[in-house]
Amino acid sequence: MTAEPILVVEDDVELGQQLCATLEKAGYAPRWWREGHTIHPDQPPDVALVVLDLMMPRVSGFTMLAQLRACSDVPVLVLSARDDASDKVKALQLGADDYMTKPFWPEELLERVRARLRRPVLQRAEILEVGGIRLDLATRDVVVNGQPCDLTRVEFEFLLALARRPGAALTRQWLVHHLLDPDREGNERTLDVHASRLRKKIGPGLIETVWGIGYRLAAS
Amino acid sequence: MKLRARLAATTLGVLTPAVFGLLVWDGYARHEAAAATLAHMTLDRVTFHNACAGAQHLGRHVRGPLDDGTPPLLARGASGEPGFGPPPNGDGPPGDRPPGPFKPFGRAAPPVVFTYAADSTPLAEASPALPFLPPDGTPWQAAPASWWQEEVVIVARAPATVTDCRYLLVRGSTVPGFLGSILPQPHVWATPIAAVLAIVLLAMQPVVRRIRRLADAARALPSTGWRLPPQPGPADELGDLAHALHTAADAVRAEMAAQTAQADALRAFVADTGHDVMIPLTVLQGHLAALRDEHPASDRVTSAMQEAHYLGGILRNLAAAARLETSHRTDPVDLTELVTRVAARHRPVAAAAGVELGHAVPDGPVFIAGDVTLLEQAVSNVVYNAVRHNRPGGHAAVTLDAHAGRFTLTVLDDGPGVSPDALARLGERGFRADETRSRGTTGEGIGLDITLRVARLHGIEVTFSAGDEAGLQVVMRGGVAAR
Repeated sequence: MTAEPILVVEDDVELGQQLCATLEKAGYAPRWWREGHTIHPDQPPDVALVVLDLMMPRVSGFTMLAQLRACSDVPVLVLSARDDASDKVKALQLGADDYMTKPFWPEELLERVRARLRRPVLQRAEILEVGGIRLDLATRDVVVNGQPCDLTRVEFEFLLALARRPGAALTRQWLVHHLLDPDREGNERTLDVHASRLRKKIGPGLIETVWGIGYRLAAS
Repeated sequence: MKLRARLAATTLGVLTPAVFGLLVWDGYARHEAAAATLAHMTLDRVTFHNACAGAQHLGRHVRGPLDDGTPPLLARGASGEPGFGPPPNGDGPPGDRPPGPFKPFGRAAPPVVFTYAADSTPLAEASPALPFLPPDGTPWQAAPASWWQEEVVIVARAPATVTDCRYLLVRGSTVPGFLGSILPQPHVWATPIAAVLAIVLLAMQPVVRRIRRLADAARALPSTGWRLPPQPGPADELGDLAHALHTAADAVRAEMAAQTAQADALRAFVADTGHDVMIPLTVLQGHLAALRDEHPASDRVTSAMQEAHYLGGILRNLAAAARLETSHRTDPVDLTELVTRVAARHRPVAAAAGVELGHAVPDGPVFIAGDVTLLEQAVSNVVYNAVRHNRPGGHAAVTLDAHAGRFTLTVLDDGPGVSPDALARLGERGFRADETRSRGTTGEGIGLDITLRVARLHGIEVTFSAGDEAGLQVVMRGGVAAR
């Protein structure tokens, strides 16, 4: 899998080096601009994501953001040392997708980058595929890592709900409300039983329990 | 209106006794004048004609009794009443004609003259009410009269050379038709008094208007940014008052501008130093994270990470405190994104400390109206506490839910929790967030401070309770904004 290119626009030398090192270690291909550059509308940077510091010399971060948005839909994650609501609102209005204030942890940045780069859940017509799981909404067939699984109606809906939002935790309340019939004593304990059965059928490691919340489909 | 009513009452209060006094004085003066005039005119004619009969040109002449003791005859009017009446031939003496500018209600009647012969009929016996004419040579004497009486009676002694009578009694009136007067009749009085009153009230009108305008302008000062509009008018006491108010309003405006400038300077200072500190802190955190990778079991590195994390939190809280004091925005804030950001912020340190931090958000945005920075810091402080007050192997979870126009944000942990007393106190602080302002800025103190103040500012309810099995549960509830 080729490393996705990420443009880092940061004037501080130490921080820029760290950002590049962090991204590289996580499997991305960082490119580093130490100064602001005018982005020409016919030359949008060919990257998967831009990490842009607002306080840049020469060309301001806001200007670059506007120029970028004029010619590209690439996800932009803005960095700033000013924890200022006006800056945030302005950046988001100019088209930034996310805003991170310094100080931040490398893992924090990576989590935000991954969230922006997450491949959308593929759903062609009635088929949903995520990771090694394939769900056919028409026939109600389930294939996990090449192995077909025989699921009950509730188990299918359970897996479908988790598969629609991979990596995101769904609360027990929500799952009970959407999956179980309240007239037939649907409650959280019943849900846990369904989860346990589902896990046995599709195999371990795919469905994670999230403490204090519920369940999530493991991010692949 | 009150001012003018008072002024009218004062004017009337001063004028009424004055007018009354003048009327009284006028009455007496009129009597004196009338009496003197009557006496002089009578005596002049008598002297001129050297006979009492000469006085008949004055008015009606009645011959008094002669030595035979017959009581004096009174003149009779046309209809028989005694005293006054028009002369039978119509064209009487000059006094009978109405005078020039004064038109009295009653017609001025001509005076009536009674003549009396020698001392054989003492005047005192003939008419006890008549004045006593002293024998020392005083030519005439007026009868005592009240000020409001119109009738004037005098008694005069005929000159020694006159033979046809000894005394003359002349009855006249103060009606100005004949004698002229010092002051006009009372009904004529009313006009100038009413005029004075009207003038006074009218003169007050512009003054009252100026006062009202000034009062309105003063009342509106807070909403006009403490600017007093110019008050037109002469440079009198009201002008002085307006000027004084101007000066006071200017002083208030200057003071407020100074305070705003101070607050702005504080914000700028916090922002600038924040900027200079945030970048090195980020780099430091990067190094610590790398160190942790190299020494995953090192408690020292974990501790260092926690300290750096705490520093970042303090800086953010100080910035939030400054913004709470001075200015905060209201924009649509997506709580879904906010919770995701906050969870990501605390996860690295939580992981280093062996605390599992999970979060759950709805599958779409949840917008509320508020200041994104303040709200994020408010939630961040609660999550920080949930991770901090925990132990390796512990858990914390942040959950956002939205239903029927309201959102619920829950932060739950399975740490040691707080004692029931502390829980009660936390609950109280939720109600009395203002009290926390006077506290010192200790580590966790400032965090909860900020959270509660921000929640209060945004109309968000914060409740504290013990978790189902252990730990603390903090629930924030509020209304969702229609985007």
